[in-house]
Amino acid sequence: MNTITPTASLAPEADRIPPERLARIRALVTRAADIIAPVWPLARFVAVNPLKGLEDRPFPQAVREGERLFGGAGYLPLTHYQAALAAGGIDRRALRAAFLAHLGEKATRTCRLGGRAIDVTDALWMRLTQGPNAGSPIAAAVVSAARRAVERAGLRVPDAAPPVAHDTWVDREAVRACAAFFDQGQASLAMPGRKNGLYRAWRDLGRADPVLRRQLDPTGRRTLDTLPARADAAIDQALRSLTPAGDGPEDRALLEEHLAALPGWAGFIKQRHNEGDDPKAPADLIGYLAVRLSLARIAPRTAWTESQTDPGRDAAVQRLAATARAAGLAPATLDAADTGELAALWRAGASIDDDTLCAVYLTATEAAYRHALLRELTPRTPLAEPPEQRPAAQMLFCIDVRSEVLRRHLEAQGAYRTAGYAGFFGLPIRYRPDADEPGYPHCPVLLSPKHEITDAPKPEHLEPAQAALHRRSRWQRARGLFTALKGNIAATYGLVEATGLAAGAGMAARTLIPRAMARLRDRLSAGTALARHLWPGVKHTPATPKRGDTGMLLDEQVFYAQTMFALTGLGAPFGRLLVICGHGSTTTNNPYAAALDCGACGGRRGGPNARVMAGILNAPDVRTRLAERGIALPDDCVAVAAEHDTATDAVRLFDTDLVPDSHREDLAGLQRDLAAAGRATRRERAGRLPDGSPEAPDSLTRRSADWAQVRPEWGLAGNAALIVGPRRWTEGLDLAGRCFLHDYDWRHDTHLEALTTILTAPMIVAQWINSQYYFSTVDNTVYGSGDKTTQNVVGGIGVMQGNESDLQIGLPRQSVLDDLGRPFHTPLRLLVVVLAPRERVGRVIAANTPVKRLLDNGWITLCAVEPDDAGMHRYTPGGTWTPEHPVADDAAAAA
Amino acid sequence: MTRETTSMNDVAPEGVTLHALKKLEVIVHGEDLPTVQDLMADANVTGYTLVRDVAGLGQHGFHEGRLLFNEQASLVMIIAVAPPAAIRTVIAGLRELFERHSGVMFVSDTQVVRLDHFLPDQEAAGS
Repeated sequence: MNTITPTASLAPEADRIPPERLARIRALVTRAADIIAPVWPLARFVAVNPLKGLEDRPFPQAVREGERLFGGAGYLPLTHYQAALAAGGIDRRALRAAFLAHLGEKATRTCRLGGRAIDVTDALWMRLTQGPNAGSPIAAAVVSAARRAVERAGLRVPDAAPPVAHDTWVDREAVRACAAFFDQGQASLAMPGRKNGLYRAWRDLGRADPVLRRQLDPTGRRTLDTLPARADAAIDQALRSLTPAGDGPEDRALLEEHLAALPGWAGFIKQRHNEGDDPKAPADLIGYLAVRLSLARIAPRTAWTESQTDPGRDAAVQRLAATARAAGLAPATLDAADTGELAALWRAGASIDDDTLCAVYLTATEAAYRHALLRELTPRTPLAEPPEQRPAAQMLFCIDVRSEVLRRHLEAQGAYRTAGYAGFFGLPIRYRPDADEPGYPHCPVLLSPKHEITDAPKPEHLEPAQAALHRRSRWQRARGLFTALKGNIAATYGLVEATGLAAGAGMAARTLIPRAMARLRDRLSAGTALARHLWPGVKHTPATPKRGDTGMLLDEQVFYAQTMFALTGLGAPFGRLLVICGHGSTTTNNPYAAALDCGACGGRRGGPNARVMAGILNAPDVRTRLAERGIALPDDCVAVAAEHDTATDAVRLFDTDLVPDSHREDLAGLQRDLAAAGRATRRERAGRLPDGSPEAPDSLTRRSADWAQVRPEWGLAGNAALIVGPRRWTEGLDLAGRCFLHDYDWRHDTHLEALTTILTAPMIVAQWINSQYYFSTVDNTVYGSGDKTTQNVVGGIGVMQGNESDLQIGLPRQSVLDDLGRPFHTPLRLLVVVLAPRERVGRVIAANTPVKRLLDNGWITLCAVEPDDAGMHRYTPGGTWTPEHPVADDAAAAA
Repeated sequence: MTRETTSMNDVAPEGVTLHALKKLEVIVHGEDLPTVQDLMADANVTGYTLVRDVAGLGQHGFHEGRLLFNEQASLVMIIAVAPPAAIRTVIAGLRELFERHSGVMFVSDTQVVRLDHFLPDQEAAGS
């Protein structure tokens, strides 16, 4: 894991620096890296809050710090909200309520200016609601008068720090070093010396790199030639020369600025190192910062012009001018005002900035959504007793918002009971379909995999399984050969001559008949055949497992099954079928394919987890143990694995050949109803896609196979809430694919273990997803990944815009904005609604600092609904509860 | 290399010598574990014991032990035994880390029988 291995040859310089100093540098780097959110490689793209490192402070402060460090906006533009208000998209009463709540006790603010009484509250309301829609931009004369007034009264915005400036030359060179070092086989030539770590590889190559040397002045070249061999020593030298005062805060600020310059690369390196380094190319943020700081030392000197602007003053001018315009103050009135009057106007509210006004809109939009949802839930509480009839089937889905739509349509087909659970089904596994490859973790990134699961031929499928494996390896060899020839300078021309025509025909076919080509590809790579004849059937590991053993102990299998029932409250009467349904998304030519797969499975498809869980539930010895623990699955209850393809809404059932003949009819009925539910889901989704139509829902399957499609599906766009409670509470409600649904029955959770697990893991994953959609929408350039059509995949690990940009950290524009650049996703912070006594919910929050921090700092709003009387309360920072009256609010709004 | 031996040797069976070393116990959130491991590796601390899912009462109230699906938020305890110089180096880093991150560390005297297990390879060879 460690990148720096002191050796005898490196000893001299290490000797000169006390080891305590180097240890301090490492800790200093860790602390500076708090501001950086981890970034996962494309193959398992995991949603994460780009401001995760700032979650320890209140949301408004965090977005302001994000603006300073990364240059990203924290809200949609004020003009967007004002236009939405004018178009009727925002409830004016809800906005007024949020506005007055924000002003608080000082809601009535007046002051006098030039003998005239000014109602500052009114002026702020005008500033909030009218904006540029009222007419032209603020007149130049008003701005000039505001500037004079600001100067005269000495008004300043004290914390208006300009965004951190960084050296673009250093950025460019750092990107070059990272792209070469972290390449995962996409480049034909590997960077030399990677085993020595990022910094050493860069330093050694840099010394011999004429392109780099030519750009340096003689001093820069001399410094380059004398850079130390150890990365931490290089940081020590750089800190001594770049922050001569050399105190801790100044050092940390410099390190933070260098990390914030390219948060994508820094986040990627942080994540990669923390998960366990690649010994063939070890790298950590010490190495990365050593490269950057050394570059800063040798950077060609450019004439540095000190900025003449004063951001504190400029911000004050903008706020005063906007308020003056809203209050209808003439420039002459401002000019005539004395400094005392101006200061009073400033204090009374002119000092409020646009971000604060945006926050008022955000709060109002969130309150409107929250009240609407709580209103729907009110008449459903207290819950009616569950029906005792045996369902046709129970089906367990991932909590993903896309499951809600399919579940609703499936339940409408017949006696189906569905439940929501984290889509890895509680199995911390690493899945290796190809035993020769390391495979991928199929669990949330909050966990490390505990079990290796490989594919094995099913009983009585040995021969076809071997044939399918043979076909896969032939396909892999052919692809590998083609890629190698394509990248080889000598062979590439011959390759074009030999295969150009066929490749051209293939391209035409992929464009004209995408679905047929997808089927052909599946046949060649043996995709379907492999799934039919092999399975990740869980093996019983011996009681004393050895390293390299795959599978799980019997006790572990029982534990995972029992946890599933305990966390979801899923129980009798059990149906004849118990379906475990994961999800994935089939798309073509899509670097962001993993962003559409299952977040709970670490950005992979959930099918393998479903198959493992179904295998566990069907094992007779597991059933015996479960029965001893009070979970008695009847003999005629068969567990079946399934996977919901969220691009096509087809549900594929796995291993149906292992289902006994007695259940053939049940299975056929389920398949029929799943097909109908899929059709209804497609129809609903097609209406939301900009170029889709509810009349042509089957165009969605073509979309999935179309390699020119930039928006195969909307993914989790629209996500807004996590509902924690039994499905009976929400069944039949149209939640529009905006809610994560986790089943939970508080009556069975005596020790609060289930709720603790739900709030410390599924809720955290939902908040990461929610924040990623939020920030990718409000600033797609900084927090998203920009337009898909101009992205370049780099080194097989991420995408860049152009060829020398930061690694992009969020979702592409096409995932959150429509074709005209308007938000399709409504950015709202996550709402969590729990059906449980608030006293119990409060206890879980108080006992778990990370959960409390997210709630206290306003990253999540949580409401507890009393199961007995539907009393609704919102958690407020510090651990108190505020009553929510959604129905009364609704009546007041209507009055 | 000779190491100080103390009166603890009165509990040592015949023919067994106890060697004085320092013991460091650190409790941090799971997400800080990689940093602590790096600090140990940098300081040539050759081994340590990990206790995951630690529960206890501290400044922020009672902290539950095991979180079923979240290791990053769970507390983890790292126990390391090493010569004073190595422990001093690790402490320097931890002190900087704890300026902002929550965690505790305890340092104590301890004695071991097999000294070579607690020294870096080259030192062990010369001890």
